[in-house]
Amino acid sequence: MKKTITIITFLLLAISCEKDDICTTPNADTAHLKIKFYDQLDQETLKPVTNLLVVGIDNAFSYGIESTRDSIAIPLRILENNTSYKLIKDYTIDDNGTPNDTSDDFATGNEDVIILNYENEELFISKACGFKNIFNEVNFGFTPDTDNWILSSTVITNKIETEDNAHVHIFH
Amino acid sequence: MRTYIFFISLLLSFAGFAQEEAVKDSSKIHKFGLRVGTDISKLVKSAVIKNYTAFEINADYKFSKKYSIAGEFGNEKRTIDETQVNFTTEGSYFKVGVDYNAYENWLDMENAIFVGLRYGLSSYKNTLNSHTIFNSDTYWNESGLKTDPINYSNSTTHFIELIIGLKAEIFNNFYLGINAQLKNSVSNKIPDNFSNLYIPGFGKTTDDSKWGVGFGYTISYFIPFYKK
Repeated sequence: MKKTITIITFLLLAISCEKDDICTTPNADTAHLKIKFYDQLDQETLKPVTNLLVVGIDNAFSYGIESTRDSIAIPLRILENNTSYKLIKDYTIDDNGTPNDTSDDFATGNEDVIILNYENEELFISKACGFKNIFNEVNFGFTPDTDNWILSSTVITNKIETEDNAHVHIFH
Repeated sequence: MRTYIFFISLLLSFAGFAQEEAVKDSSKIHKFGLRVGTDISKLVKSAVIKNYTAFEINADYKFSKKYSIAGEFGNEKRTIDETQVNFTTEGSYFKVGVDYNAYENWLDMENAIFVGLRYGLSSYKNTLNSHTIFNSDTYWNESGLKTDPINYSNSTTHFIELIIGLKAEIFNNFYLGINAQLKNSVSNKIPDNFSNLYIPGFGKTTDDSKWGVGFGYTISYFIPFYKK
């Protein structure tokens, strides 16, 4: 009798303590667009872009990548069907010959604009993680200008779901 | 809240069995019949907890000295607000099985300390009231919150339940009982692009387990059919 009450008591105690669901599923977050930069002449070889600055078009801030690198991961808009970025190669601030006066400084670099078009889809992950956005039917292009540093590109996958591999290769 | 319910249950169990350890009569008379009741905890929770309504009828029919056929029928509607999702689950369930009474009654009482097994079937539907898309990069400053409700197709879950509890006669054929349930889903029809996160009659589900737990506080009336 006492034993039974003890068992029931423990069972009820166990019910009283609920486990919190914490999002631990890998790749539960909406993926970034991952771009790798390759040599136009030797398309198997990674070629870093010198002093690359990434700025979203219609965004007041730069994405904060200002370095020499052979790959970038940048976010796409989940409420729109397109996202554009300025990729500025050899970005530097020219102090106009007056290092102490910042008011007449101007930025230099070769600016190319990339455009992505896609369809958004919500994918259920779990109770704790909720939904993530995946990008389908991805199209990638860049705006031609008089001195493009981007020479060509290849879309590796037109579905952006995880960040395990690059989605786009850019040759320069 | 749960802690209070828990202490009330303890009091009930002690009150119900205060007169135990009495002389046991080997020539005991058994009463056979139907006991019908309801789960009071569901009524109390419906009154107290916002976004929860539930009702359950339970019954057991004693057909031998130790065994009863037992079952529950009920419906539940519950809204759960998690960080990423807010959803409502609404539906009905029934459970049917056998209880084994391990308690030696004296005279012609029908108290029970029982262990039972049930097969359960729950049929329900999920509505997603709002959700937030998991997008931790805030560079585009987009709110991933979507407030258009999404209705999913009907879900069904089959499960097996182990139930343990006690029932004590408080006065003329009225019984008060408590029980705890451990459930395991055997088959689960999941809607497209969502999951069965709460199952009526089964309880909350977690991402990594098929187990559910529950408890009940019952009040029931015993209708004796014959004595032996």
